[in-house]
Amino acid sequence: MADSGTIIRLLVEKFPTQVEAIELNPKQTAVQIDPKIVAAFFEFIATHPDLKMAYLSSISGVDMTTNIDIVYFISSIEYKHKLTVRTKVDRLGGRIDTISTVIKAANWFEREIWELFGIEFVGHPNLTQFLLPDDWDEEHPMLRDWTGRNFVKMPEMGG
Amino acid sequence: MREPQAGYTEEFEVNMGPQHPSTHGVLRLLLRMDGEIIKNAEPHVGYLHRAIEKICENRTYPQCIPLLDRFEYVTSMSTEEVFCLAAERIAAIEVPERAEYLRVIMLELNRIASHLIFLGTFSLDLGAITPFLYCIRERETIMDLFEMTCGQRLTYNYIRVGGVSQDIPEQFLPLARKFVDTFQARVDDYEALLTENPIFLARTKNVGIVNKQVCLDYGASGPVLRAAGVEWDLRRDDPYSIYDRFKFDIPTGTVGDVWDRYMVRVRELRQSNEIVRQALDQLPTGDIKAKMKPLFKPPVGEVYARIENSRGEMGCHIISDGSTKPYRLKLRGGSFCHTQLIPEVAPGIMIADLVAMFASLDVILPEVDR
Amino acid sequence: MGIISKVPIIAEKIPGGAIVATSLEKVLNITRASSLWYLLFGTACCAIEMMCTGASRYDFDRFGMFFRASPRQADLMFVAGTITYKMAPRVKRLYEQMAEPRYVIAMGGCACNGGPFYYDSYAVLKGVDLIIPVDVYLPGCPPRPESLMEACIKLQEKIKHEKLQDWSSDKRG
Repeated sequence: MADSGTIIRLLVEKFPTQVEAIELNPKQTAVQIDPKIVAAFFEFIATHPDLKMAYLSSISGVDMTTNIDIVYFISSIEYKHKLTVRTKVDRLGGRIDTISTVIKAANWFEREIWELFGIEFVGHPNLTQFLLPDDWDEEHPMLRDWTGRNFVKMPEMGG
Repeated sequence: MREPQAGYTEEFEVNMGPQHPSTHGVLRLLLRMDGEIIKNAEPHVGYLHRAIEKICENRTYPQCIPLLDRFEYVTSMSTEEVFCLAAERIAAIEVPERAEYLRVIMLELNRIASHLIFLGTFSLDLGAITPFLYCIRERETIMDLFEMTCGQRLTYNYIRVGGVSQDIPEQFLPLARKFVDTFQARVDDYEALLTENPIFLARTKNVGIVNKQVCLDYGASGPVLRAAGVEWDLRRDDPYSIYDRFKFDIPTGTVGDVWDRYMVRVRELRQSNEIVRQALDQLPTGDIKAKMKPLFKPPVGEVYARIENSRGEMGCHIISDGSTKPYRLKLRGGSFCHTQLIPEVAPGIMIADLVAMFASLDVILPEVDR
Repeated sequence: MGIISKVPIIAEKIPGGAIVATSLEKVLNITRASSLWYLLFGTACCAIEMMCTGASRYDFDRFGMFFRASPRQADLMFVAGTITYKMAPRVKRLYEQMAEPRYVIAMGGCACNGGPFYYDSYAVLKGVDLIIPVDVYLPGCPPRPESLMEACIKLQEKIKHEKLQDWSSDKRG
């Protein structure tokens, strides 16, 4: 099993300018990567004999008002270590390569982010309506400044 | 009009619609069939998308907990646990001993209740009605235990950030011990009805095989992954809470067919019973909640916490910006990945076997839709 | 309703016929109320409580209530669980497929008015009575099996007070 320092060292050696380690609270193995190398990155960590990380837990999209962050959580069944991967894309009209060709589990996670946040995943086999009704015409609802026709916001209570 | 020829068939589409007794919730499966054989099965989800993640962005941390109960209502204790685990990791809160033991007891009792619902509805789908009534009888005892502790039968709001909300009353321990002592014999009853039944074996052996490679590709977890032969249990492999103090086995299957998934869950019933027995024996006295400020305001941070739910890996990604409300809350349930692998496994099997296979995956739709 | 709907019209003309019609009404109402078959339809948490009410400890079968999978064979629909905008047209279609006289019990907070998902949700229908007529509202989240049984008993009382004339004028939605 590789420890946190070894994992980061292997990743930075392979992608020297596009990957950097970041500090998060609580302590965990986390890296920030350039969105252009996302497919090559996941191919590398799935096939490298000391890493073998191909078991995807989750992909989330986060609206940070200036851009959208995409956060991947991936781990290894053989070695039991895990990794948090963060990357940034543009907020409106953002595009990033899909990783569903490398890891099949990413298919529906990416479809959900496309539908609710509006990020296009280049090369995804099936970016179609997923959770929202078929006749939805009110843009992407998970963006923080979104309002809609039947959206009732909870009134602020004192204190 | 075409002349009918002997042995000629045409492909057609069948809608196994949102309302169907076997879809265990509102799932629509669009099947493309050639006679009885399925050529393609496409799941359509979203009929229960209630926007829980958007709602939680405008609620304080304690206010999120009742909403998260409704996310996975059969095992509400697990949803509360994963959320509280994530919040406690960000704020570096240490939970007192008695609260940890109470949490484990409730989690394992909830796991038993969830597997009993699985057994009941799985046998109903295969045509056996009696096991359903037996399983619900046991589950009612567990509901009594929960009701005397927190007042609710189904969505508990019991596990809070820093501990649990109330201590167990004095009637809890005798009833829990009586349940634990008689439960092994009950599981023997269920096995006597089903396990060696030739009709059951014919319908489940070598049917609906989800093998190891498919499971790992699609991120399957829980009993589905263990039935395919991979020994992966988050209680042992990514430890949380105090599970390292209990002795329990991790049952696995060999092939990954419907029979293996059934047997893995039946053996897990026995193992969970053992964990509850050990926890009741070791239960210490003490506080049930950590000392915290009345308004919970964690520092800036981000974490992904995961636990072993009865359906697989349940994960909660929280991003905190230092205020009383989470900036982003993302939930992940095991059923999300299991529904995703249906188009990979369905082609080539007959529609009656699809019902058996889908029932054995034990999918709950709110985990998929949120 | 065939020959039954002509009974009040014929009975008016015969001396003492109105009493015959009233007794016939009572008998028919009691038989209808004691054998309500419900549609197996549940979307969320309330569906589990509905299942438990139909099972071992709280038994629905003693009321004569039995689940049917097809809406054509059912005369009662429990709307158990949250209804989203995506699911709403399907609920309406199921309701239209049920044969008259048909009844609806809105079970749980979500079916009554949106429940805990009223505020801040972009996809939840705020109450099922926006699309189909409801006979009994049952609040709770989820309501206990005893509450569900009380709702059924209230519905049975409502049925027992129905008039035979209403059948012929087809007042029920």
